[in-house]
Parts: sequence; structure tokens; C-alpha cells
Amino acid sequence: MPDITDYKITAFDQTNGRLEIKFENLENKIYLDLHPDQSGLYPEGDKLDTMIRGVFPKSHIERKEKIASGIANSAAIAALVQPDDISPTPQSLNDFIDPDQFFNIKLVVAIQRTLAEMSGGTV
Amino acid sequence: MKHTPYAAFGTVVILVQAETTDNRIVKLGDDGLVTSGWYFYTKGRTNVKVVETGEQLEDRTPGWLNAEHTTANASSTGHLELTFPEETEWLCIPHVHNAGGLPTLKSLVVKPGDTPELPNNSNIFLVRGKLEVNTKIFTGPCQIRVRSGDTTADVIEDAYGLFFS
Repeated sequence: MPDITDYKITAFDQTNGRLEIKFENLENKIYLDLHPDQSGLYPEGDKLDTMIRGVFPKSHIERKEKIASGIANSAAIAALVQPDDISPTPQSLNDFIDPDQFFNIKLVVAIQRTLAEMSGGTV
Repeated sequence: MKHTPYAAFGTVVILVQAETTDNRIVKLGDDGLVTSGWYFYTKGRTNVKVVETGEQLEDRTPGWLNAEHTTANASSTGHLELTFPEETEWLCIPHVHNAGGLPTLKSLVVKPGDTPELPNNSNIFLVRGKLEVNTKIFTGPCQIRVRSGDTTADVIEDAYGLFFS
């Protein structure tokens, strides 16, 4: 069970009554909407501390830690995967240019021809 | 391994850059030579071994153009395993992307102080290095077309290029 080592309130949006909280052992910030009590006031002190600690995403952290340490039947799940026939959208030029794979050589060459001609020339 | 294609005077050429962690298997023809096309080393070092027999061939080093080493074949057909003791770069001119046939190539390997002759109408693909020709600086990879008469180049940095014809 992950423990909350510490946290700090990094912002308070007074317009919306919303706290921004940074837990020491959590990468992302957490946002907490405060609700006024019967006296029309926001909770303070221990009550606020309890509320903040209550929103710490224990299960999310536990899950990440378990996955990081390895799941015994992960391979069985991976074996169920059926890759889509559609090629992934290329993200960069290098995605086009593994000669062992099908790629749009004409497009790449057109790009590189331009680059080469910009740095070369006739004398 | 990174592959970057360029166009060189109508031919598709691919600049390959290998890390020390890379390796590559290449098919050999019946004559013990690589069948995939021309290749020209411009940086680093490649150890070459025949997978099936363990035969070790001469290391490929900068300036090695296989078209100029047609007797450097393996003793058998099979597959070559290429490993790279240092970061290595070569230019590949493959059949697979040049259905119209491969050009005739001649290597240009020069160092500062050299003044290589560049005949008129030369087509040179400068793969690596820096040349000055008629006051114009060329840094590889780039194409150089000589059209204003026979000339010479001043070598600013070690240069590796190919004459295309």
C-alpha cells in the first residue's frame, strides 16, 4: 500500500473553490473542489487534511507499482493481441525508411532530393 | 540503424548509419559477393564474417566501394554478418529501389591538401566531408554538378564522394 509521504497545496482557485495539490510521490497534480459546510465555510485543519489525503489515488499508484514489478500472465494477455492490418501513421521520416519494410520511397526521395539540392549545386 | 534516402542524379541512394550495438545480415550470391547493390563506406569500421562458414573477410573501412573490390568475395555463398566496432556509415545504392539499373561509380577519397580533378560534366555525390569548387563550398551529403569546364577542388575536410556515370 503506497503511503502519502507529503503534499502541498500549490494553488487555490477562489473563483471556483478548487485546490491544486501536489503529492510528493505522485507525478501529476490533483484538483479538489471544496464544498462549504453548514456554516458556509470551507473545511480547515484536520478536516481539510483528511479530505486531501482521501483523494490520494492509492489504487492508481498500487496498480502502477504492481505492473512495474511484472505480472505473471502478461504474456497470455499479449498473445490475444491481433494487430490491425492498417499501417500506423508515420510519425517521422525514419518511420518511412527501413529498407526491410514497405515504405513510400518516392515521397522520401522527393523530400531528400530537395534537401540535397539545397546544399549542393552546379559549378 | 538509421537509413536516410537521397536522390543522386536520378538514382536512389541510402545513407546508412550504424551504432556499435547494431548488426546486419546480408545475402551473398553464388560468387560470394553481396547481391543487393553497391555500397561505399565513409566512416567507422565494419567486421565482416560469413555466417555459415565463419570465414572472416577484410574489414570495410572508409573509402571501400564494393564495385572497386570485385575480387574481395567470400569463398562460398551464404550470408554475411556485419558488426560495427565503432559508429559506421556507408552509402548503399540498392537494386531494389533502382529498377532501371545501377550507375557506374568511381570513388573519390581525398584529404586536405589534395586537389582532385573534376572533369567537366562530372556528377559527384559528396557523401561526407567538405570541398570548395570554384569558390563554392559543398558539404556532404550533396550533389555536385560540374558544368563550367574542367576544374579542381580544394579539400577542406576529409571527403568521400562518388562519381556517377
